Amino acid sequence: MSETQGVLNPTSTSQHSTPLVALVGAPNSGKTTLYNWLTGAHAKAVNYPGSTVDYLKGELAPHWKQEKVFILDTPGTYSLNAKTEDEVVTQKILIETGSDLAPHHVVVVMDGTQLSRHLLLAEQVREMKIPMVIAITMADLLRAQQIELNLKPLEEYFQCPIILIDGRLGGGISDLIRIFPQKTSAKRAVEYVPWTAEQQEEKMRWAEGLCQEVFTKSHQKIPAIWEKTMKWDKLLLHPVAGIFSFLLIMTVLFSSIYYLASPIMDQVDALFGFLSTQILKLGPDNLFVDFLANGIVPSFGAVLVFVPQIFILFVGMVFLESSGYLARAGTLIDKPFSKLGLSGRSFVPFLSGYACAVPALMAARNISSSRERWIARLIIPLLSCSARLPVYGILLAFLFSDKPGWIPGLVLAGIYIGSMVVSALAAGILNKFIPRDSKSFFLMELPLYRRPRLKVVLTQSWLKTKSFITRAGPVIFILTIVLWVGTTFPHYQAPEFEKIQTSYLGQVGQKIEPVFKPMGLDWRGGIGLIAAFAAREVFVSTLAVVYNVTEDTTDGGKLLTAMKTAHFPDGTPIFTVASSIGLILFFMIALQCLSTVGMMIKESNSVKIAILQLVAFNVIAYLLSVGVVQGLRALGVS
Amino acid sequence: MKAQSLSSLQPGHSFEILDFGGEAVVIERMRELGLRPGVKLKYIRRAPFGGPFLFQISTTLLALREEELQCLKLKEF
Repeated sequence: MSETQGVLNPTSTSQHSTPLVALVGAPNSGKTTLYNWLTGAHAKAVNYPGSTVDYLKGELAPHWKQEKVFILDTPGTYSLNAKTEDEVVTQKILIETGSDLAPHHVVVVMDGTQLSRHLLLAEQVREMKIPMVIAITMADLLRAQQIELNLKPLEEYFQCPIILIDGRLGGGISDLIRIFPQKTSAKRAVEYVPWTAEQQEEKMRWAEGLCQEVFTKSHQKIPAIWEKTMKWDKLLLHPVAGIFSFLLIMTVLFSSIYYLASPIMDQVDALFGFLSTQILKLGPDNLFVDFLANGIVPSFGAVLVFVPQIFILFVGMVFLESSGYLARAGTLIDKPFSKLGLSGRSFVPFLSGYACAVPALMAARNISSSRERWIARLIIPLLSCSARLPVYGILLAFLFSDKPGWIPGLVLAGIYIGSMVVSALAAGILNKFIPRDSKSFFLMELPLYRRPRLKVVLTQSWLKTKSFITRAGPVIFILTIVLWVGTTFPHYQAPEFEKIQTSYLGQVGQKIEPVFKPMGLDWRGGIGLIAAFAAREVFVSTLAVVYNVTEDTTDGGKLLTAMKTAHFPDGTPIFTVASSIGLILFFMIALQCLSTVGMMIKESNSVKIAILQLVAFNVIAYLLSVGVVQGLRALGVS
Repeated sequence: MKAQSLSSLQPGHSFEILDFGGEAVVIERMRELGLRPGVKLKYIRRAPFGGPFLFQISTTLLALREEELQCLKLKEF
């Protein structure tokens, strides 16, 4: 994991003298909101050494005017006896006291409306004798129902300060900060002993009893907080209206990703295109200038062009998550998913997969069952990610250039449904072959519906986007440069078309032309397919170069004309109905994204499986594409 | 809760957990979510597609799969 450490640097030397405070709490406990109040927008995602699970680390925001303190936001956990990969991280942070990441102080975050359950985690921290504070969140909700808390029994038992936090207005935060240690203290070795079943039940009864004392008589008022949530659930989990709302919410989410992101992506594209042309003007025949203009600049462009839509996807997901809906969506989809060996818990990775496989693979870590995690990881690359969209766009424009616009639109919808069917089939097959493990469970807690705080949503989405850039960025960047080398040398001084034709990649393309021929393509189409391994949408810009589209390569009109006139030496056209359909099918299945492969290696910790997946998907895609092209030809469709 | 009685679950009905049975990890997670013998829960509804069962346990809303529900021995009251 040294490479991620290099990028994210979780162990800076200054840390030794700066106190480290860890926020620990159950999922939906209001931990993230509290973290945002403490650190402002300045935080970075960090890896625990040896793990790929992110947690956030940041400094106390300067406006609190306090001594420097580092704050860790650990992954949500119900107990220190971890059951999922991200819970293990929280467990390690608290248990492995030798590491730099062991906190000097712990803030146990408890939801005031869920006190009796959340007391158990606090009890586990107390048993470990780590200096602690208890922060009780959702104070605003309790106050709205005039629920009074008697904190004395809690203070007496835990022998630590108890602070009420109002996540909406920030009440209680300054009191909490005042308790933070000013200096580092020696970290004591602590031992964690998991409770036995009997102890666990005994602790539950103790917590319920303690809760009675805390709430005195107002305990009965808590269900009133749930009234609105129950009403919403009547609609959102209704057998018919619930499914309808689900489809509506997902449609809105995805159309906003495409519609909001595409103009920004076009801007990014145009900006980098402009930069390239300007740099090229500085020295038209200079190799270094060419490297800058056609190697470095497009590499940055290739990474950054994804950022708008990934950010919008994260905004949508964080919004749905903090509103409480994401847990419902997972519950709703659980039954259909269970037929494929998955569960509603895999819903988030799948949702992300329709934007990009890289964050989807990252999200798959939270799936508790390793069997399910494997099925998810293996089929995520089949989901129709947005990098395929420009490819489908140009091919559909070619196929339906003289038809009204709704026809390619309908076919595109068909491609999406087709991709769902293909991934469902693949999951069904894997479900039969991967042996069952016993640890799978669904057991989902459905939180209260709450209005998300915009600032928290934006900060969280930005942090997730940054994490994506630092992970996937270097891979895409390097591959784009490799591609530049492959298409530029050895005859870098030749005119554009000749340069590519005689380049290393061009030579390879021509040598393996027989491979592409059954798909109906010549060597140039083949180069397009090879180049698409850097990122699928590179296929379009490469076609523009290899089919000798002069001037503005981003102009789809010119590329279409070039595709229509492109032909084999014997005069037969290359792009036909058959070969275009073959290409669409190929792109639906092929794993043409080396960032995904790189991510798969990291996530699965197995080069073998990642390579196997790469080969298998591409061979299947190739065979299917060849079969369809040849089949169509046999039926008389050229 | 026996399989045949699942279909007769009526929204709004309350139950008491008499006993647990099943895999240790699942049972432990159930405890972490507030379930134990003696605890009362109220059946709310079933998720669409004949999916998980929704129960309210004091102030917690839980979705349990059919097989998870079968780990619980319930008594209506």
